[in-house]
Amino acid sequence: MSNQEKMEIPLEREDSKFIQFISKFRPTRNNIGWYFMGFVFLIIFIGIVNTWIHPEAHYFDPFIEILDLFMKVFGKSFAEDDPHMPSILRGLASGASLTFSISLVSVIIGFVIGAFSAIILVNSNPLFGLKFIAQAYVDFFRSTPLLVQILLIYFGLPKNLVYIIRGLDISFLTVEIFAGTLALSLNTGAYQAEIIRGGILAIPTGQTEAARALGLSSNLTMNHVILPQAIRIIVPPLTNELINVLLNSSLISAIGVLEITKKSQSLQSYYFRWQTFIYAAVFYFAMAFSISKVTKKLEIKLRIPGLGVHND
Amino acid sequence: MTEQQIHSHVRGDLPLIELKGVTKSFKGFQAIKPPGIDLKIMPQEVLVIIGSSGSGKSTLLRCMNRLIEPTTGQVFFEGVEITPPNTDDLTREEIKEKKQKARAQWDENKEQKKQQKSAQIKEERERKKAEWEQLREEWKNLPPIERKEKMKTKKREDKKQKIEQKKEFKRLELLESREIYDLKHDRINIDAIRQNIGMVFQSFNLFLHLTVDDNIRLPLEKVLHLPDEEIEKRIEEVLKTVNLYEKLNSYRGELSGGQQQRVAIARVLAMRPKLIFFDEPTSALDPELTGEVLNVMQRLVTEFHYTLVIVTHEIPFAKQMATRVVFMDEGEVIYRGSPKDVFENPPNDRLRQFLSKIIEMD
Repeated sequence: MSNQEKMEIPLEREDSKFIQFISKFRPTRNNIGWYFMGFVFLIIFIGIVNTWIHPEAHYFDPFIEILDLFMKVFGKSFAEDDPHMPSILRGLASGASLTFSISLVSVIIGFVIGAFSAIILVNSNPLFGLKFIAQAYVDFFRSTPLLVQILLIYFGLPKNLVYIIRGLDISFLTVEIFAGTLALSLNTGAYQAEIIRGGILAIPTGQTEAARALGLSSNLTMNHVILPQAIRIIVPPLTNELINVLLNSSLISAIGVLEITKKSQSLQSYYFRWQTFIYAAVFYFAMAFSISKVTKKLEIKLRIPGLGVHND
Repeated sequence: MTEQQIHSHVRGDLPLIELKGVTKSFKGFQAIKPPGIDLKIMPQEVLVIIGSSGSGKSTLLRCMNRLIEPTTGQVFFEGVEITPPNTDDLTREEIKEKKQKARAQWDENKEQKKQQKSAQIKEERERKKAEWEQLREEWKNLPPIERKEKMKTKKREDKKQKIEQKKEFKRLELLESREIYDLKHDRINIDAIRQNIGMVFQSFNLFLHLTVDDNIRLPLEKVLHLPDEEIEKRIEEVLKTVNLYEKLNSYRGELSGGQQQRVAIARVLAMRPKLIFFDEPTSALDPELTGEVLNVMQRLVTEFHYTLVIVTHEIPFAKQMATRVVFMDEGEVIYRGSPKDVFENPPNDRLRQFLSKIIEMD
């Protein structure tokens, strides 16, 4: 009897509210990646704030200092090992920010172009020649090399447009950057159009049939039945395209945009350090890898039981 | 069940759907052969279409609500022709003139509606003004703090009313766009017709990305534009009819085949259609699950008196439920008659052959 009574006494004390609150933020396998990303963004943000206070500083400086801490474990810091290394890293970092922003802008513009042309291409009627135009656009940009497209757009820009861009006098919008972004977004738009079209066509015809039989018009069917399902199919190939754009943006170094590749070339020829290219590759890798991880999270978040295969 | 759900048609002699010489040919393949099929579907009838695979049963069913456009022939729904009218004997100019006339009529209607609406708004405004003046006079002698509070609450109420009114206006406007005849384009608005014709498919075709609840809600919200309370009521009612209320928040992947088909039937029932087509509803299910779907179908007939058109291979079910049976073979209607004639002493050789094969399989 006494034994039983003893057994009934709860031995575990309930956690206090503070501990319960804290335990939500305990690093686990699921959220450690977000913490890491948040940490990186925080450091970059601190760097950007630092440049407002000290105009001569570079936004990558806090990052270099943290890397220095790691290097000191092995003996020497960056500057002690090679006095040019910090300036090489700074140069590559400014190139990286340009690469990132150019590819982000061109992916967004490309998605808008791609979505519109995909919906036009899926339509069965010619839409007053719009379908022909969309098809011609996709065909041209998919069957010519990106480098040729970049050169074509850069050297073929109308003079008036060039004057307008120069007249605007914005520091980050040069003619080269404008032409490069335009070429990239037109190129990726064509590929994304095909990806989105494939996603829409992958939806079984039974879905359209059921929706139409319930009295939904074709527009309502597209908006509420086809597209929400197509988005889930599109995400993985669209990730591919995102990474492609990021890596293909190295081609706009041909028209002299100072992104990572061009920057690394010039730094290498200035300081004679072949390691520059390793660092350039590391910059590309960090960006592409984090994109693939983030879109993987998105893919899992959009997932629905019974739609697609779950193997992780 | 509510009164609305039981469609007892007063005009008993008017067929719900009438086919006149309907044929369909795909590329190099005659699915329904000329001279075509004539068929009348009367209210509260259970028409069963049987026949071997590829004999054009499903095609015929889809021609009835124009999911497949018939090559020739006419389809009538409650006496209204829903196929595009025959324009062979009209010249091009006459067609153009007709279209312009319809467009002019549409413009006129639109103008009228606009004026009506503005008049209504004006009236409402004047009524509000008068009300406010009256209230002000009533509250004149009250202490100022109390008066202020009363004014505040009144204003809040007015705002709420205004928002609700706007919603109602929008709903009515959307409903107007679903009139059967589309004057703007001078053609039948087929979506407005289809909302009266339910259809249940062989492969269930639940919307994959939506829960059971949203599957039923989508057409009620976007097609019928019902108010929210009505939608909730209908979903509950309909899911209880098919005994699946506990699966309200599951996705398609979490349901068995029979449950999926029952949800599909519930989705159709929520629209309160005038007749329902069943396109081989049980042929993708095993015999155990078939029973639960057939049970629901039986209840539709015995309890709610729905008009059904069923394409099926379930001979016992057809024998029990059908009021009329149509036998199709190679794109032609070979025999039509009462189930007694068809199943007990089949008068046609081809029909006898077909039935004996199916009975052998069982």
